[in-house]
Amino acid sequence: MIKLQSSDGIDFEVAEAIAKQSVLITNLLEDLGETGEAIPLPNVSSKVLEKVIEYCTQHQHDPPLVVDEYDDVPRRSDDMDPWDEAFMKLDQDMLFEILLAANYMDIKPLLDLGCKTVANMIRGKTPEEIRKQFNIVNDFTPEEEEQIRKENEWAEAN
Amino acid sequence: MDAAAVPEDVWIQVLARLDPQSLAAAGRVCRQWRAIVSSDHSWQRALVLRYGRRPFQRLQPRRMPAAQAGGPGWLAGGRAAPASWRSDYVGRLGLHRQWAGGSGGRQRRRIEFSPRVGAVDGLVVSEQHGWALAASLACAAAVRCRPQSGKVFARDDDVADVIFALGDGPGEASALGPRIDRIAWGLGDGRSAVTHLTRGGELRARAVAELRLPAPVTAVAGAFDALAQDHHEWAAAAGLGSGAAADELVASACAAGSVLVWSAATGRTRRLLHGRGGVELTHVTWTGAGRFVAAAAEAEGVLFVWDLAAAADRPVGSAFDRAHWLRPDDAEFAGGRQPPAAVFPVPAGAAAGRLVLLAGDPLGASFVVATEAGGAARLSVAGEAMAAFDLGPAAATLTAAAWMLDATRRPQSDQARDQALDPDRGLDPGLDGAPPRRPDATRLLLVGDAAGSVWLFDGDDGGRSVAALRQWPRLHRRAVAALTANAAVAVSAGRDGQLLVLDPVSGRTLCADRSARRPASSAETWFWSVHPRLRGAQAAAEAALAGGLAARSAALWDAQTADGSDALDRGAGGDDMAALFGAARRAGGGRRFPSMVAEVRAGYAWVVAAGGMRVHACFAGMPARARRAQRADRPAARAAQQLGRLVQEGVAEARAESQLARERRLRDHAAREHIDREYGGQLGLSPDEQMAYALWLSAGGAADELSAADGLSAAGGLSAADGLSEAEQLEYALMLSKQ
Repeated sequence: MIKLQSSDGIDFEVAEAIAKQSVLITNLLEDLGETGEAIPLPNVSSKVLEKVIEYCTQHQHDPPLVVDEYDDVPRRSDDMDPWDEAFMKLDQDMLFEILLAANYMDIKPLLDLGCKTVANMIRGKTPEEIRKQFNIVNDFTPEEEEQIRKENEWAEAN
Repeated sequence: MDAAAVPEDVWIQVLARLDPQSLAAAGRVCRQWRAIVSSDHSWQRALVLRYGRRPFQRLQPRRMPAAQAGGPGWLAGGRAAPASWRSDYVGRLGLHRQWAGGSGGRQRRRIEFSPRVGAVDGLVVSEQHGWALAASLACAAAVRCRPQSGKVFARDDDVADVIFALGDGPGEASALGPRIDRIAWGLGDGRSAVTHLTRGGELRARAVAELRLPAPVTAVAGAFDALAQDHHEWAAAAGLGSGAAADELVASACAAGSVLVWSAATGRTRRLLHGRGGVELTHVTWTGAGRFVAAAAEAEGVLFVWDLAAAADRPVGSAFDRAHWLRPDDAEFAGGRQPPAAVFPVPAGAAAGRLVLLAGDPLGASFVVATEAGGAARLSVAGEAMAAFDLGPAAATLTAAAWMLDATRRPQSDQARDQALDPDRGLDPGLDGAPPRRPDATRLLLVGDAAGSVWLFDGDDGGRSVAALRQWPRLHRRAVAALTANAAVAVSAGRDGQLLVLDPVSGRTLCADRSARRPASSAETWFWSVHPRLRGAQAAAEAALAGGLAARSAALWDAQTADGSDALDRGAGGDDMAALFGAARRAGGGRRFPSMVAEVRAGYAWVVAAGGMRVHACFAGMPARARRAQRADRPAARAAQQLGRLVQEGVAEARAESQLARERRLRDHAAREHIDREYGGQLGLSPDEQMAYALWLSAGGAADELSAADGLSAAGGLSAADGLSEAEQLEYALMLSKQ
């Protein structure tokens, strides 16, 4: 069993197979050895860590993601499995928190899942709708705006 | 939590999972996203994520003049002007949508070639030009068709794109080597020719080799795809011509054991390569960027390799720079010929037996051989086995192969390339030691077998057992006749007259027949459906095809196209056939039939037309004069009657069984027994064959539209005054009677 400590100081005890889905933890364990002390995760709150552990528990027996020899990207997996889809039904803040945690802890399947979920929120939307969705400020000057519009005329035509 | 708190590298990962349009939209959201989307790397990631791996070749931007890409531009792949990943992603999706028949994900049926194309012996598909060139030896013609439908290309001016190699002086076509803009032909009388297409698709004057080989040409190969700079260097160094003229080199192998290397630009002889007297060469190919010519003798299982650079200092036989007949014992022939640099038997490792395939690797100095017993191996030009390809236990004899360049994986290193292919490194680096290998580009090899399966291999892999990257078992119902691949798709043409489109990147079949129960409406399928016995009759018609078509003029083809029918004349007698096709069309209420088949037999002619599930059969008598001549030939007349009866029986059977199908009793055991009892003994069908046939009939629901034997009386084909015997009239009356 391995102890993980969230940013708000709560300890979680998880099986090694579950924790080692995180490349960060695997590397830490290799470097430090098993000391029995809790591994601090200063960027991950207990609420988020709980969800991450839930995901890792569900997927602990999955085969590792195949990464193309020449590209540092995972191969395209098929459509989301139903469990993942239900798991990802979160409010947007939590979704981003998990995405960041997956990125920080380097859990590739979870990062892939999170990216896919966010990408699905972007797909088919206009720039304005995307800004509204994610609360992004339009920081273009009017000149830039005009230039972009010209560049993207091909997309409008399609 | 705010989106602004998400770091850029996470956004990069998110945006890589978008389709091109959404990605473009994301580029208009804010400055940060715009910076991400502006990077071509984002588009590359998005493409790879979508397809699962990097494409083997970059797409050429459409409408780019071929000349700018160094020869046939689409073949030069990633070595030409760099296209952006963005245009690659957008273009690839568009192409796949086009091939797969719309964005709805609905799978299109197989592509059926127009019967006019004949059996496809060579195939090239260009996504850049938007056409496919299908060449047939039997028809001695190459036809430009729409790659997405297989229909013969008709240009605005209503000229059908049937490109004849032989024009007014027909000889028997015995070999062909098609490329997207030119087709090399070998003729039975020893001549060689090249037909050109201009960039706009116009048929350009054809070039004929001045030198006529002393025996039928058995194989031709153009150096067209060895190409580009490497090839030009070799060709110039070896005195074969420089610049664009080097692209025009063609190798023609003949049955007398010689290979003629000639220039399609001038028709002049560049080299005469001699193998061994009495060894009939059957295959020829180029390899090592156009430096080596390899030829093989199928029966003897011997390979010959010539190094064109080895004879650079020898004057190119000026004696051959004029047209003349060549005899094997000719003094000139002996003086100018170049002996092979290497001769070796097909190694035992590649399995013994007749050699069935020879395909030169366009870049590395090696080629793939396959033998009848199965098994394929890659050999260096020195004859050492470099790789054996693992086809699995189910593979049949290989029938087709095609190389494609994988030019995207590694960046090209000019220095490494120059070292590998340095002409000053001694006369023959390929034979001294390791053959020159291109470090910058890898090759992929597509092979197809007699059972209709197709494999994709990494052509760079070595070793005793190279596993297939991808495998498509039993793609075709018959042997794979031709394979071709370009940056976007791999296409295979089968002897069943079908064309299948594969995506080599994702391994998906883009065009496939998902409903095996409903065969496509080609004439052949119909024949099979009507009666297996008719297959034999059709084979005979097929054999007559070559002669019949070779004698046809281009004008007649055009007339037929203008006529609105994609008809294929399978017999003799052009005028009779035209009348017959006309009659069939009228009988069908003027509708257009994609498939029509006709045959003239003693005293009879018949035509069968199929469109959708509608099948029409028409019979006509021959002109009285011809019939009198035929009547003396009793056995032939009987055979013709027999044939007529078979068709009639088949049609009657079709009606009866469609009735059964409608009553939904066919799947019952009782129905099975019923068919067996009713028709089994009479027709010699096995219950399974009948079942298959009945299921086919029941599949469409349109089977009740089968209207056979629609009258020729309207077309004036028959009357008592034609002097038919009573038996014959009865025969006809039966045929003409409607239900």
